[in-house]
Amino acid sequence: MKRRSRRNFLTLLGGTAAAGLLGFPGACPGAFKARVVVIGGGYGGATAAKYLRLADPRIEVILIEKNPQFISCALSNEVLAGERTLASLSFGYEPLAAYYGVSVVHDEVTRIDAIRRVAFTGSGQQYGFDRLVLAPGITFKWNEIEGYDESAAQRLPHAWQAGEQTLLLRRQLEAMPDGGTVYIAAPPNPYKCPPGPYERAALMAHYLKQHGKGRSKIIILDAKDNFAKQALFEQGWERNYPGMISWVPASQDGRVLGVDAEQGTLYTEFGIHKGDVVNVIPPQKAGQIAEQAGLTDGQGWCPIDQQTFESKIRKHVHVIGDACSAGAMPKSGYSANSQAKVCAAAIAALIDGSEPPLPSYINTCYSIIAPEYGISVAAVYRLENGKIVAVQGAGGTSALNASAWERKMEATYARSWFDNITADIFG
Amino acid sequence: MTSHRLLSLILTLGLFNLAAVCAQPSHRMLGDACAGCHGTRGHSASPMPIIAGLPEAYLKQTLRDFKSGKRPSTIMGRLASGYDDAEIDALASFFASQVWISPPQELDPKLVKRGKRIHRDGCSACHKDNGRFQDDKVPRLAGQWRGYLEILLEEYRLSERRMPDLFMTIAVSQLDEDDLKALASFYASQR
Repeated sequence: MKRRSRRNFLTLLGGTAAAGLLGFPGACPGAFKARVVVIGGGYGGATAAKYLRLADPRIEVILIEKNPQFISCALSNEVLAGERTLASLSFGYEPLAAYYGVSVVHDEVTRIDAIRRVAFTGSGQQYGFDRLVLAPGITFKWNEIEGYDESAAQRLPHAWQAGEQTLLLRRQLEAMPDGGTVYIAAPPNPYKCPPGPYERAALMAHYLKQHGKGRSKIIILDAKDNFAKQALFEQGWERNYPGMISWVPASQDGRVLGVDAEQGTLYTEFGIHKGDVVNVIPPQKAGQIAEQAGLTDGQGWCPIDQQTFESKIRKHVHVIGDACSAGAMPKSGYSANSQAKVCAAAIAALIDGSEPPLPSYINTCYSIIAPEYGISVAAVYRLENGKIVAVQGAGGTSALNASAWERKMEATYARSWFDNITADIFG
Repeated sequence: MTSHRLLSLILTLGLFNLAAVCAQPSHRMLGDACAGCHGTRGHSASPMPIIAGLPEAYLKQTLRDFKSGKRPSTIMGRLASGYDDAEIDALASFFASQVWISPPQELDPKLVKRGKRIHRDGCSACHKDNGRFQDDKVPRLAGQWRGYLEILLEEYRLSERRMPDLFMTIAVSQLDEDDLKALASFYASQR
């Protein structure tokens, strides 16, 4: 206990000195008991910033995010379907600043000194911290699929980070004639949004069917032999878009090994596949800054204490959301939101020198197969022997024999989920 | 190690173990996880129902009914099953202790007027004070989302849903689809 308070005192002293040196707007020495810097303003980071302020208003929170607006990847498949605008997926950070007192800085963190506890940004600023929350999301393993790099993505969009990429894929679909072939290269586990590629196939089919291109085909080449909510997806595809969508598992030569971006060609071990529209969702790893800060393991993800989300590699640095390996939880927006709250409560306790509280987590992933046809998977998680595990006898997927009314309700609730979670994060 | 320190160590470990046996996440920890769908502290966006400030006993029973399957659901049964009785009670207590806020809603005044008549003639004996009244069995309806009330009333009409409250099922069976829309709009119009 004595050691901890001395350390806190030194940290506070360091933090105050740094604040004084750097002249933070509004930084008033002594007003805050500690400073937490949050890097990344997506589902995880923005939630952490808000809930840290809710947990303890005497914690100063600085959220550093390079983009002025967040664009949600969740529900961006509805943009491909022509059912939603990108603007409806975009959120600003003003309410976090105005209502919750989060200091929002639009800048990019380029280096983290976890020993001295300072984050350095591209514009030359430095931010000292008592604790750091890193929520960088994912980045792609460029060239793991041979020939698929950032420039190839301009021809064969991944659309796995919403924004211009989503619109590019949408334009390609719009330009495709009836009877064309769309390829989706689905990534190996783990990756962001496990049901996403399969929802995408469905909503692309919806667009094609609605616009007189019902003779077109969508072929998913998969690096896996099974996928999330598989039985529900296969049933939903067949009911809504009979014959349009086919899925090729890895064991049947589904794994894409290379691309020719100019030709729009995908190479598997034994096959060459040329599509009119080619969507490559590449293998993934934790966001770049996590790797740069030395927080990742051999697979490219951040190992963490699953109660506090503190990095197992660097003390005082917490990693949440897609970038971390959080036991049984999938990489989803709901997971990131739930983890952020557990992490915020843990940090508030640790700053006070008390035990982090017992956690509880939820994940819910809705997928929309058609505007009135939704499915879901859900789970409640708890900590057991230091690992996040799903509570037995709970959770699971929607019933395979659910009625049309239930499917319609799940599509309605999917959109309501989006409105609620984004209000919980950005509102 | 002195005997004094040994004693305090034993006491500390003993208490710690006791805490570990009875340990349950805090009300807030449990409740905050629900916000992804039900909004921050239960103040949800339409059509997920607002649950902030509903009666504790009503919430306890509803969660138990979701868990047992007595009340049908799309997803709540799967989620409620993730909690034991003590955790369900904690969740109910957390949301019951929040303050109800009626959100502004765009409504058709004609439907509201028609709904008011139906309420007066058929519903006001239980849903007193224009739906503001609530007790262990009766949830507040005044200011609830129109979208949610429409879904709920439709559930009472659909035979496939097998809603647990027989009285409500019978009451709703007397009404047609437009009546239900009117009723939903009326309660949504109340503050």
